[in-house]
Amino acid sequence: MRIDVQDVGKGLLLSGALVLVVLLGLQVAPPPGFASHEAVLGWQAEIHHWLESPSPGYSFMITLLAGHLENPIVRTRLPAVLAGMLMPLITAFLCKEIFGGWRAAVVAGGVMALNPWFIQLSRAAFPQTLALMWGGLCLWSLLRKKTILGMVFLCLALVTDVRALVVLPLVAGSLLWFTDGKMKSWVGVGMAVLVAGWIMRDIMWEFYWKESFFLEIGFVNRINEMRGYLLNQGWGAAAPLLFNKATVGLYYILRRIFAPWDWYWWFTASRYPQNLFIKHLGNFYFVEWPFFMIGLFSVVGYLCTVGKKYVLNVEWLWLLVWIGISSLPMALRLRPDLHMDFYWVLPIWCMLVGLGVSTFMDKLSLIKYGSWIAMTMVVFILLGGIALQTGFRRNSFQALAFKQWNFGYEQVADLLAPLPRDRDYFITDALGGNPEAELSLLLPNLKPEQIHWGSIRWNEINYLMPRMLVASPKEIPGGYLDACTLKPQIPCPESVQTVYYPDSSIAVYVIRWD
Amino acid sequence: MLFAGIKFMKRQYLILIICVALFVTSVSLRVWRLDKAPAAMTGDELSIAYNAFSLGKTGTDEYGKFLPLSFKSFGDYKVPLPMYLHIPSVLWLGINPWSVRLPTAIISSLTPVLVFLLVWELGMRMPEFRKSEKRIVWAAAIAGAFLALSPWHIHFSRGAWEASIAVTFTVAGMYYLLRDKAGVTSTVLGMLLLGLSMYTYHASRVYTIVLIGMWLVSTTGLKIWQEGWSQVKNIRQIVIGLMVFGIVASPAVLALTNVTGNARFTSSSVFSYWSSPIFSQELGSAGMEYTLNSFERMFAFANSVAAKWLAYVSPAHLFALGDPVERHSVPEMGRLYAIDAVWILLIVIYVLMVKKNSWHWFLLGWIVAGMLPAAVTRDEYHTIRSLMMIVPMTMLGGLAVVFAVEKIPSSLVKKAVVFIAGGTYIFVCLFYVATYQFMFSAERAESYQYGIKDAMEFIEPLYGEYDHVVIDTPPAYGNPYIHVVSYLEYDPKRFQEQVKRNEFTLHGREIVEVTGLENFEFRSIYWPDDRSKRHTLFVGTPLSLPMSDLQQTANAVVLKEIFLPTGVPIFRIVAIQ
Repeated sequence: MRIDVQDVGKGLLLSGALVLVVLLGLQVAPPPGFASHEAVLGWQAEIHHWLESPSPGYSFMITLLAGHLENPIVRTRLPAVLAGMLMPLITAFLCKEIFGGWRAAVVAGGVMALNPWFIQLSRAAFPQTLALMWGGLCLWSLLRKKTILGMVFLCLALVTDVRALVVLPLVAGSLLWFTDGKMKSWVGVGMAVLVAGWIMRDIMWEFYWKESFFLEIGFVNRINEMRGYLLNQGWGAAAPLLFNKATVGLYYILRRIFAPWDWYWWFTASRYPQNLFIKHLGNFYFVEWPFFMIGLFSVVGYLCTVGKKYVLNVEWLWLLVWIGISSLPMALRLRPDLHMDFYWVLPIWCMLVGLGVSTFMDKLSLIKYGSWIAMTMVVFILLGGIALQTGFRRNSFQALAFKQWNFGYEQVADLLAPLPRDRDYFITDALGGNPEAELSLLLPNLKPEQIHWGSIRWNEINYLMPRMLVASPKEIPGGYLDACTLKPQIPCPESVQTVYYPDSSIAVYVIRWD
Repeated sequence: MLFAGIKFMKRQYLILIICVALFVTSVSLRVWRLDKAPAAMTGDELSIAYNAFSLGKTGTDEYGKFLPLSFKSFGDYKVPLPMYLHIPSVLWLGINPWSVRLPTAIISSLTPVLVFLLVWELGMRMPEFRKSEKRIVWAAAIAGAFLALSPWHIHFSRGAWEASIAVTFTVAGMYYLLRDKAGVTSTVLGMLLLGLSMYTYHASRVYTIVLIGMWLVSTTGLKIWQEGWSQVKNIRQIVIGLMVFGIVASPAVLALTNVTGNARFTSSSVFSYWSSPIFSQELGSAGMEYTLNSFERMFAFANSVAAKWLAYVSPAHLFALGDPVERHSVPEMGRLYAIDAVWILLIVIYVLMVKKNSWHWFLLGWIVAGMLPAAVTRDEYHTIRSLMMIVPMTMLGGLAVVFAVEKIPSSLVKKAVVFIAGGTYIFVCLFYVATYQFMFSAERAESYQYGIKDAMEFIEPLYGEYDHVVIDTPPAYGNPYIHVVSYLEYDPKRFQEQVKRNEFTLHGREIVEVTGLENFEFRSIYWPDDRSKRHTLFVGTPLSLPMSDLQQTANAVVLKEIFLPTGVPIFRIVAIQ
């Protein structure tokens, strides 16, 4: 095998640049809390019940990669953070494999490394980022004709994220189709899907069938409503022909396929106000948009004039298929979550921006001030990265987002840790999410049978009479903590400790009776 | 061959047949059940109608101004031409949905015909179409059909929307400017129509000027650039045309710079968004300490402005989301049919593949000009201000579809594709018509201020018997006085003499509220106070006139309850003797 020194040099340069950009991305502050969905993944890894985890692949990776680490939060988040560090490199290599140039690859990797959506999902335990990494490695392997390796990565991706089960087999299958994949590759894909499908069968059933909008009573009612309007007007014969499960269902699916292609959501996120993300900074930087369009039009233009302008291969058509497939998990769901369900579009976006910049640079001689425009774009993306960091670090954002991240369990665990373990506790769900998973993970020696979880009414305290109660101010009647004269008579607490939210409001009281 | 051996006269007949077919299709979709869908007339429609009524009766508007060129309205100034165009219909038929909506529906139905003629003219200048008249006819007919069946265009043709009239005037003007052998008469007529379009809608003042600039560049500018002044033969014609436009349009252009135009610009321009309290509030709620960090403010502002522009070409908005304002869109529909994505994609392919000349760029520029008035305003997304976009889109769509179908090698496959695509399109169109006519008219009735008409019809024989008639002013129903005077066809002279107004400025906008008219009072009803009134008739919502309170008031009688088409009560008419 001949090694091209120049190529190796470029690769090293690329890796160095990307490492710097990834480091810039890592400067973003972690979320203000430890979300319950993270705790569930961590807890299933802790007790080695990987198959009962919402993401068997992710929980298994926690055990495999970080089982020896002491801090449960770091342990739980490590696989996603590692995937977040590697994914820009994988994107770059994938891009290089498809478009054949380092320039496009460097830009694609850089765009991925500083992407707000990606950074935010790789700073916490989101299985999607890990699945994206396995998926990227799978496609890269398939492009390099390393079929067995590709199948392993495919299987890992599929057992990590339930959305991958719809997107990735179709993306990988279409890649094989376009690249004239051999029978053993098809068999490999089929086997990986079968194995992962069997492991994920319950999760799939829940995600795609039980939560499918086709089964929702509202969908059927809506069709009946639509028909009703026609029946009232004497259009009875046309009603079932125009409005039925097939026509309305297809219409809904089509609308949902287009729905995520909403530039407001892409650039300002204002239509989907979730405190998980910073409003107005969007999920992409708007300066990337023209280059994305140039990249997209380059692909379409190439397909329209095959062999005339570009000497590239048929993988380009596959990219368009990938774009179409990305919306599918969203289209099938009753209550879609754009940030999670549409995540598979991210590598395509980054690669097309890379291609767009590369094409633009090729035409620089034709455009006045072209290099300045390209430089401005790079500067804007870097500024965007800094804006993202500063935005995330702001106290006001941290204060706004804490409830989304179930802030407070860590603090409660700190208070509970030094206390004896032979008493009955009552812990309400005042902090939201899943207190059992949160505290079981954060307090390794806790005996679950001693703890009562769930919501509580003050009257119940009288006969439950736990040794300890963790509850919100709303759950404890006013006046009890000050005077303890309230009926029914409950003894005064021995000690009361308070956990505060970042905005200085009271999250919970930890009350002890000894 | 469609045209092989056809003599000139026969070709003229074919053009006539296509034009008539397009017009009949357009009129059918725009006029059928015009009084029932939308379910009611909005305050804006009635403002046009009552001012036209007042002009017809007295020669003055509702403020008593003689033949004005700018009509003072609720919070802004309305353009004059729609008012004048409605005079014959409201005088003849009175103020009702037919008289108010029919002029717009008929005028808008001409646009697909004009698009057909315009694509024919432009197709002759495009190398890929020039050689085959048959292809041009097909492209022009498909473009006209796309517009005739377009949900976006149909929606704003079924109501007194000024935007739709403006589109027709502008397209007609451009047609006369772009005719193959446009002489002085044609140019003057075109410029006259474009000049008049400046008086039909505020947004048209922006895109008309841009379109004229593009026309000048495409017809003359490029020739001067390439061949020099000496080769330009039609300078006289252009100068005369521009003079006509200047004379007709100068009052409208001047209005942009005077107090009224300036007020509208400053209140709705995107540039005012930067310092607006709304933007600061949004940043605050997003967790940004906006007062401390101007860098983030700048970045967020740039993101917002970019997204605002891009929203007009966003697939989500085009095919899935529609307009955030309820009355501007049909439930669960975008601006276009989802199937329209096919010809939008074909436009992209067509534009990438053909060797482009100035007329291809002209059409692409026309799309940008269409979105321009909407994109520079601070509103989130506006389907009316950007209505002009649909015209060049359908024109390019017609060209792109024929270009793509011609690439199919097999005649059988070609026929199958045309048959399947045509059948699907007709089914989708029927789906939309049924949704619009029956579902939209029922579910969005409240956004069209449904119910006041029924209330006015009920109180018409009664209101003279009471000392006071109190009409509630729920925010969704805007200015109820315009409903009262329109449905009662109040004598304009008497209205001008008796009306009581409250004028003030809010966020830089001049607001005028009508608070009273003879025995009518337009104000919020507060039952704990109002229950003590005597000889008073109340028209209010169930919230302002709760049944439990009414039952406890001894002399209050509920005369009538008015319901939305979905069965929800919307108005209550209560009398205290």
